[in-house]
Amino acid sequence: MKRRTFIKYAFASISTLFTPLLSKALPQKKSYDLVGIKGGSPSQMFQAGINSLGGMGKFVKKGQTVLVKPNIGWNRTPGEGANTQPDLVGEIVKQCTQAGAKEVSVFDHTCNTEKFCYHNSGIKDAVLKNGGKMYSGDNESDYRKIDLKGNKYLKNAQIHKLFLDSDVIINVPVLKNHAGTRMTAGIKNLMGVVWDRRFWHKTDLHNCIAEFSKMRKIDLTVIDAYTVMVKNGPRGVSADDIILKRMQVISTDMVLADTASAKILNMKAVDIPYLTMSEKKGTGSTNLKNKKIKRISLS
Amino acid sequence: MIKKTRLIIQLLFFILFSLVIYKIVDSQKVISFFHSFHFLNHLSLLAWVVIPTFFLWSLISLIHPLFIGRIYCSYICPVGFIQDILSLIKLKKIKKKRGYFPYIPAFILGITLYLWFLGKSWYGIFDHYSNFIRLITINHSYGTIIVFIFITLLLFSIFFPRFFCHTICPSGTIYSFLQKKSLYKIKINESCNGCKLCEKSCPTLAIKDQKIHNKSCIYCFECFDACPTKAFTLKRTKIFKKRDKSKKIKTDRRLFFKQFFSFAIGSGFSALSIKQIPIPKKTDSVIPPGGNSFTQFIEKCTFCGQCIAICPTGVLENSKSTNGIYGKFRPIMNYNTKFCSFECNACLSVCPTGALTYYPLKHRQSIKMGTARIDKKTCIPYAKKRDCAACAEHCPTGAVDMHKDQQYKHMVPKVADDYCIGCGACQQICPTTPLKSIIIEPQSIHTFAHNPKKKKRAASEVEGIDRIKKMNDFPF
Repeated sequence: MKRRTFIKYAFASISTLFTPLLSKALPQKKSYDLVGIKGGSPSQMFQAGINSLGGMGKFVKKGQTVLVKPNIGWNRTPGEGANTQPDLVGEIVKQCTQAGAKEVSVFDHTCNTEKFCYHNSGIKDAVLKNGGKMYSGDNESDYRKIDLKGNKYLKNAQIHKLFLDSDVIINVPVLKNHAGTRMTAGIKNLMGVVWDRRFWHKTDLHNCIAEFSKMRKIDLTVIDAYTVMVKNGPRGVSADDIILKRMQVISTDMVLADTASAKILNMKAVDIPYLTMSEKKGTGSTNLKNKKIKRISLS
Repeated sequence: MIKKTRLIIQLLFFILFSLVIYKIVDSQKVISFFHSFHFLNHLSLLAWVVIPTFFLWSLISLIHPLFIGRIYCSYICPVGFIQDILSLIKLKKIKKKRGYFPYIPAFILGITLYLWFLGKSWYGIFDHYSNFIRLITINHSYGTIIVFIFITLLLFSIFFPRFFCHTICPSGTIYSFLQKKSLYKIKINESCNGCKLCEKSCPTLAIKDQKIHNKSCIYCFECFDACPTKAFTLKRTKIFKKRDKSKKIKTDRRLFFKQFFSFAIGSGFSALSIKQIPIPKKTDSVIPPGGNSFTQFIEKCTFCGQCIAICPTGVLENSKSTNGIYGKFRPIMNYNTKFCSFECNACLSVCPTGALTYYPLKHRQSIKMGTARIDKKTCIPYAKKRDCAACAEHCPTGAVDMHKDQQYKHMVPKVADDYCIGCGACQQICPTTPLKSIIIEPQSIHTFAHNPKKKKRAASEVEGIDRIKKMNDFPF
């Protein structure tokens, strides 16, 4: 009898080693598809949002290289709402370095003169203060020509090496109305990593934007809706063009984030051609129903 | 001692002027002050009956040889510094000779003064400071024939010290005439023992046989140090001295008339040349902001190239073939690959002759240099019926805007003429090839654009914006 009891006890104790595997086999508590935050400063809202998703450590592992891609396209100050708020970019860079990233790089292929944009937007100072590195987008040699198989319109593109080589990509656009595409948010922000944008305008703007959206998985999209530009976008003529909304949208699904942001601008996904095209190409979903959404109000 | 001190002072001024040209300081007043050292450019506004800034200082720069000789040439002028350094090169078997050739300076001065008084800036070819700016900013644009000729003339200094100063430079020629009546003159007194050490030390070889050649002397005072018997003194001349009528009047008078005729021939030559150049009524290209009007700009600009060097986007270029011979070398805007940055007024703040009048930034942002015109045959929304809007995206004043149009189903760009300042952001970004579909039509006389904040919006758009404002909760 002693042998049988021994074997029972041994079997029981060994099986406890397998319980961690068991917890993985059970249906997991799913993370949120979309987080909306309102009522704080850009960095406060990001802190609350990223915590609800489990912290930055879920997206950035120790020793990885990170690309934080804000909108720095225009020679405008933070109060004029044409670029991403510098505090938000600074906070993201800080959290990435705290999570153990080897290098956090920030760049944009600007529309206006680069050194003015980097400085006047406040983003360069914010990035350097938080331990990140500002990279130039003005050198054609930093871009590699990549063949994009399966595309009908954008058959190849010169893409910046940071977008191709970084382990993690965090897309941080600013929400604005746009003269050409109705809205600019996450998907449109990716236009800033290619060298020749004129080709997209010339060939078929919406289709090129949609085809490029599936080029590489974007790990996290943070849409800055602290101020939203409602007219004369994307550059804006004066501070009259923006409304203070104090909102932020975070998601791992770039298309979903854009859909939610469009609603802030009182638009539907069907109004924005590149958005529905991106969904058709499989980049993400424009269906907000049946999605797990967390809403945080800080005020 | 004086030689070393002079070299150091020259070097300091050389560095100072180079830094000013590269706009190391942001203050327009400081830049203007350092430009006023060089009177020919700075006082050229007088031809337009306009008194330039720092007028008194520039006037002092002009008349100082009447008191102490042309110390500007020996201590301050950066072109003089370059030549003095080149003169230090000593070649075997070649003996250096005086750099003064008679009649040529008077001829060039004749051309210069005729043009200068009439407000025609072609004298900029000879002006030393304009040439210096072109030399310092050579990597930016003026690799043209003018700079190469200037460099050749400077290299002559190896054989003929200060060749440019004595033979070409119009400011130098004016100074040499004024210096003749200087209040304090360098004189050799009786203690001279004929050792000729001063002749070797003089950087312009002005001293020969115990006599100082007035036209070559630049009042550097190095001879004072070199003389072992202290024979050199600064003597105060009597202002109204009775002239000794017996002394060599005939040769003086003959020389005077010869010089005068060279001068007259120079002026006559300019008068005839100016008549040959046809004055176009309109400009083919956009002239920079602050130019005020095409004719004024062409006539004031000495094509020194400083605005081209300082432009942060590189949109300014020297016109090679636009505007014909009349506009040759003057800077124009080329919008095919570059644009005028809306937040910038660098070119207006560095112009040494006032061809680009300085205005503060807000004023300059309302200057209308041209108007954008759309070619509907090639513009993508009109011709291909697709979205583009690159032009509307980049317009800093909102003059180019997208509109719903019944005829074309997509949004099409339209230009609100009164709001367009002609900065070229739209033309630069337009993606159509080989020709752009939106091109800036230049204005020969600059006017002012409407305030962009006052642009009216459609009622439906205003309603939409209101709705966004009122939404306080998450819309998703």
